[in-house]
Amino acid sequence: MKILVVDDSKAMRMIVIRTLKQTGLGNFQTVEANNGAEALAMIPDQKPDLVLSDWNMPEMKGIDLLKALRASGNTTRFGFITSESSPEVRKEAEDAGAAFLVTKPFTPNSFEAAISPVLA
Amino acid sequence: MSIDAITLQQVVNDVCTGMLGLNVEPSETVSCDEPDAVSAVIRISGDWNSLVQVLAPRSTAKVIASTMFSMTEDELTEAEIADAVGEIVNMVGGNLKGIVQGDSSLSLPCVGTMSTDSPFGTAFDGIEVNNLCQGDRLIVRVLETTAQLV
Repeated sequence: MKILVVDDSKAMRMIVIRTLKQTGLGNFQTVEANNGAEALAMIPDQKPDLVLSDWNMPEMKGIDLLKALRASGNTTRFGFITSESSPEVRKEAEDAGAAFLVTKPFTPNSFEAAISPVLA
Repeated sequence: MSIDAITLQQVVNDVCTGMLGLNVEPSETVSCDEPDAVSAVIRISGDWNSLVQVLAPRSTAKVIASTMFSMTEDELTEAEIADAVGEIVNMVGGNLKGIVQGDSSLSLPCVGTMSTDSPFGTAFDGIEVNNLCQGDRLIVRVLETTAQLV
């Protein structure tokens, strides 16, 4: 399984990948992108099984990445990992086709609880 | 709804201790006016308008970055230190925005040093929590405004 981690913070990408390794999600490889635009360009070649994206990024926000993917017919499973946790943000994410939204700060348990059902 | 110091402290604890495993303890009011102290600021604008600042001496900033990157302090670059403190203010700001609710937007973090980036000037009139993070100073501030910030 290949997971694309999209975040403009290198620190957060490292924490996300480290947390993924602390879960019981099994074998996976990760690829990284700095923002939505970079991710959008990478996805056709990389063909990830899951995209984990921040919400608020320069160049292209996570929500715009998701909308662009769906508009192009791409149905890759997609979840947000973000400090944005308001009901408005959750609804916008859900309406756009996100499978889940994990709020920062997170723990390995909250991570696994959100991601496992999507990968089942 | 607005934010009080107890709520702000809880968010700081959740971010620094709950997620990163850092030992953070509330402290008496401390100062952090060294020119190379790291200041990370994020703006929330809309139904709730505020500036959130994380302020740390360079030593604390390096401890935070070292934890986030799993690297020794000697290995860290300036960009990595700024990235780490910026992500702290991003998480604190995002969580506060969620607590207050309403239609507001969160800016990207802006990170600098006290010598170049002091958004509140010398007179701060907002909510402030003082902490010792791994034994060194960490200050988090929220300044609510009535005007929409752009």
